[in-house]
Amino acid sequence: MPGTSTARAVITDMAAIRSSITNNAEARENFVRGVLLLKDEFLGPTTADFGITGPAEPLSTYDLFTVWHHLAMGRLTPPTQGDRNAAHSGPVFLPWHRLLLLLELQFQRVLNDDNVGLPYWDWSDDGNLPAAQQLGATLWQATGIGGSGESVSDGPFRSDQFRVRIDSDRFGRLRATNRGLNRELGNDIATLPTPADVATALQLPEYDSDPWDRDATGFRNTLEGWIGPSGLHNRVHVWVGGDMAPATSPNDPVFYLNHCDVDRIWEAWMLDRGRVYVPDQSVSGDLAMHRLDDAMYSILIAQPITPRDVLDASDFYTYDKLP
Amino acid sequence: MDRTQLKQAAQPDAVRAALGANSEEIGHAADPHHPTGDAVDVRTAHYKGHDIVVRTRYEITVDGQPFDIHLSVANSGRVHYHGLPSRDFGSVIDLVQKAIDVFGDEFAADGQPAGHAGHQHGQGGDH
Ligand SMILES: [Cu+2]
Repeated sequence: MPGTSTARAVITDMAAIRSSITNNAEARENFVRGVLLLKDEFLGPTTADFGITGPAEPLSTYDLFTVWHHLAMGRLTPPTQGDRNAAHSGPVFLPWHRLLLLLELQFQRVLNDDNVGLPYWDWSDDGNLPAAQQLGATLWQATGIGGSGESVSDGPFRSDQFRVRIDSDRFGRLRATNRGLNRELGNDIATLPTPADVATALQLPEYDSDPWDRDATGFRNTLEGWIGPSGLHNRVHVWVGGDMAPATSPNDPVFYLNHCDVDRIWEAWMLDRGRVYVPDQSVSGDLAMHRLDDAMYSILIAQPITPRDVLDASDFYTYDKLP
Repeated sequence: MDRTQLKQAAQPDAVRAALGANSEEIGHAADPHHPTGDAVDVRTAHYKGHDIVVRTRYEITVDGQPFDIHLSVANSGRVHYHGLPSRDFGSVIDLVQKAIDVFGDEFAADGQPAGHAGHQHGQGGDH
């Protein structure tokens, strides 16, 4: 018996391994099943709890993460400016999305497997292809996550299996809906970032800098995509288009594949530069929610989690390969 | 970050409890995202010992209807708005054109003043 329990303890204590969705069939399978199970799980919250007018419609666990993202985006930090919010256009961009990616723990719960890791999509791999071939890459096949469409009609997230229940209107307000997923691959911008773009960002020595927003120089703002020629993370949102455009972008499961890759690039940067983060608490309270020891914006996890807490996530997951 | 603790936080009861504790906050998820009152963008810079402040207020209409959004202007001059969060634009005209591309249905359905579309069927009173 001691032998059995030791073996079990070893397995449950192992960190998940995150691998490439296009190179690992099992990771892709788990991702698809996890998304569909969480889309189909209703814990009680409805649109009415979020102040959405009209009849109260139940929201799935998956949808709650989309709402969390939307709310974080609407929390301006501080409210006297319109640029930096509790998750974007500021230093907390990378740690906050690492927190959101704890959706991985929900996958592990519904799949009943502590070793399931969120997969990443190495878009820079596709970025090396000619524009037309980027559209036809493995990920967008029915055997991947399906392709384009005002209502995606192939793959696991086609409209008869996957419904969008909440989205953002043109004023950025959350509203109820019931429709298929919308994607417009390569419509707005023809190509994805390249491995050279990623390599250039990884060479930046500084994490972030004053004024800590869309104007800042440094690794965070380059990887987020506000500065530098390639647009990295932002460019991927724009290239996918459709539901990846508004503040409810986690509606498209590819959001998580993109952000897992962004997180992987950050991890590679930290491996080179050390697990360092700025700013710390010595800067002005205007930077609240972005400083090293500030609790990050959360509606789904009650305990306070700070950027410092997530700098080393190796107890939770590791990547099979870094850029 | 403790894995056991966070696995606990991923349980349905813990998720419900977290939402319950944040009920006031989440109840405003459908509110407009810019601060109330005038949507004025303020840029500041310090230069050779001087404080520069630039306040910008845009008034945008589409087909004569106000398109009431809060634009933020970076010191580079590039404009951004919450409806299309992962991009910025060199010109406000470009930004509004892209909003029409993405939210075409809403502009087409706009028989009433912009900013109130979609509120006609609600019970009202949530603002
Ligand atoms: Cu985001």
